[in-house]
Amino acid sequence: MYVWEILFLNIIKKLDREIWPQLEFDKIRQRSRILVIDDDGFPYEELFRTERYTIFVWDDVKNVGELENGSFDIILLDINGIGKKISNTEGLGILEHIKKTNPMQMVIAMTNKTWGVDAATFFSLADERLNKSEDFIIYKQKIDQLLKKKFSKEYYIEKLNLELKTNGYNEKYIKKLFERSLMKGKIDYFISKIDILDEPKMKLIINIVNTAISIYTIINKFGG
Amino acid sequence: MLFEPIFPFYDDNEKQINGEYIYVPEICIKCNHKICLGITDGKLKTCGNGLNYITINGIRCFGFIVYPFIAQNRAISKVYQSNKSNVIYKYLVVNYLYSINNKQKQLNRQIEEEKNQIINQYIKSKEYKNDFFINLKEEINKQMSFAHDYRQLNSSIIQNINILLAKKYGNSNIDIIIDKAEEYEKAIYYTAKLLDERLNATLFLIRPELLKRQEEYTTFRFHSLVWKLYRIYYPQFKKKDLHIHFHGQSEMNIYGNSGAISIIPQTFIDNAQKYAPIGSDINIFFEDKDDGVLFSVESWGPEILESEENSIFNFMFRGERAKKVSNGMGHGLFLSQYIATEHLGSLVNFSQDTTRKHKDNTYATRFYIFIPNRCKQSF
Repeated sequence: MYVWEILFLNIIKKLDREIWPQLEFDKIRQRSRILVIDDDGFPYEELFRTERYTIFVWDDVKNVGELENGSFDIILLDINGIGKKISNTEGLGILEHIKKTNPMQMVIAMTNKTWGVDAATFFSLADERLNKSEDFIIYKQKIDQLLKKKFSKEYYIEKLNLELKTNGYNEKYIKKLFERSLMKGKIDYFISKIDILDEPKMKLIINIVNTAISIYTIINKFGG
Repeated sequence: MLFEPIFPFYDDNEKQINGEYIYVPEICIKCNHKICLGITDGKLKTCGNGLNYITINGIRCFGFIVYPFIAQNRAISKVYQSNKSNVIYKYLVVNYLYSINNKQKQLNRQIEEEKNQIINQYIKSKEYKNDFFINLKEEINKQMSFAHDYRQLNSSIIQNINILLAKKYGNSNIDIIIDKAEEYEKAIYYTAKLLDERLNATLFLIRPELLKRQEEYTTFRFHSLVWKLYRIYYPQFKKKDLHIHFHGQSEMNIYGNSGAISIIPQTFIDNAQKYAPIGSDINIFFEDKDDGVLFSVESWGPEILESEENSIFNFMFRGERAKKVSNGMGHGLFLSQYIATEHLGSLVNFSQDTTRKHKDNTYATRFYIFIPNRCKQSF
């Protein structure tokens, strides 16, 4: 490899870092908010607090608005015994509602592996699943993985590629649009450059870019 | 009746019936003790009146006198004198018993052959899979609630022992924590984990349709899965002073239902530790092939009789020798074979080397399974 090629690659890497600076995991953890909704409580709550996670435990859905507006980075949701006042299908109904109003909300489905009729849909809608009998370390690993994912640029680009490739947009173009939208800090630029008639899909894309912009703003605020 | 009733015998209502050659003696009609109604386990016995009786294939024969006999007192001698027509030579009795036994064996063989024929036909038709689950589903589903309750309780134990261990030894890797833990803490942790694995197997037995759920599919390393089982079973190995040897390793990623697949190595390991004699070796083999992993567990186990070879994968079947060594339900290999055929598209196999014998009448026994890197996606 020539010297100029190495220099060029370094410049590209530096630019990339500037567009989306790497945030240390400690900082991600400090600012993250995790919510557990389980009528049986969450025994690992204290251990998460000791590890300096900000964790909230609800024995039932207390504020639907907070579930919709992305107040929490990760929600751990039980399938049974919660949200009875809101949905007949309990945990499944809550999950469907969250994913409908805020598709980018990360949800971990918690279960005791009873596998009722609704369980299949419940697990397919969730981003991850955890058995209640898992060790604390496994819970921590899964949550850390999702947090890292949420704070990485690639996660959003991958989501956009998945949605837009069927509409004929190539990966390079999507990446360029995405980065420019981040720099401008506005969704309008991204929307003006793509032409999609499918309304639900458009809503999802707006949700992806908006979430990415808000994460990008946090990262820049906390510093890379 | 299987044989000619030459002796007097009791019918199902305990009524005395005359034999073909020997009739019910007067003394037996008047007898109040009726000791001959008791079971004799095929042994010839003598009643207080000096008459012989025996139970053959559940039929209670009585009222005959085997010659030669020894009259222990005058009264018995009198009985002999007045019942001379009931005397029969001992060699005739022996021949008679021998022929009955042979007839019984022949009949048993015939029944066994017919039974096997019907079973084989049934297995070939593959209807058993549906029939088995349909017939037992309702009953099994009733048990489901218990399994669910146990799982919830067990989760609570696991979570709380985790908290206890983390508070005492820090939140590092679970292996490191367990190393530092006290024996009683380890015991609680591993017992709960073992119960969790067993409940997992029970749930697949109750709900076999779970195998078909695409959302249960994950990518995982089979080696890690077996290693996890080894850790869980470690206290059991230690208790019996079993020496575990790993041979080879698998780097391959498997795409499939890990919860279901883990039941196969769990059954192999569980059986090995259950039947292996104290202080013996268990060998665990991995071999990566182009399209999957060949996994096997070799240990010293009870003899699997030739007649049992086709049955050991049947539901609730337990080998005669195995029954004597340990308790069990006999569903582990059945469930493993079901998962192997329905999910992996392969078969659980076994081999037993009867020339390699160890203590406690155990033989080198090896169970094999091939785990493909991509499991079946629809059934």
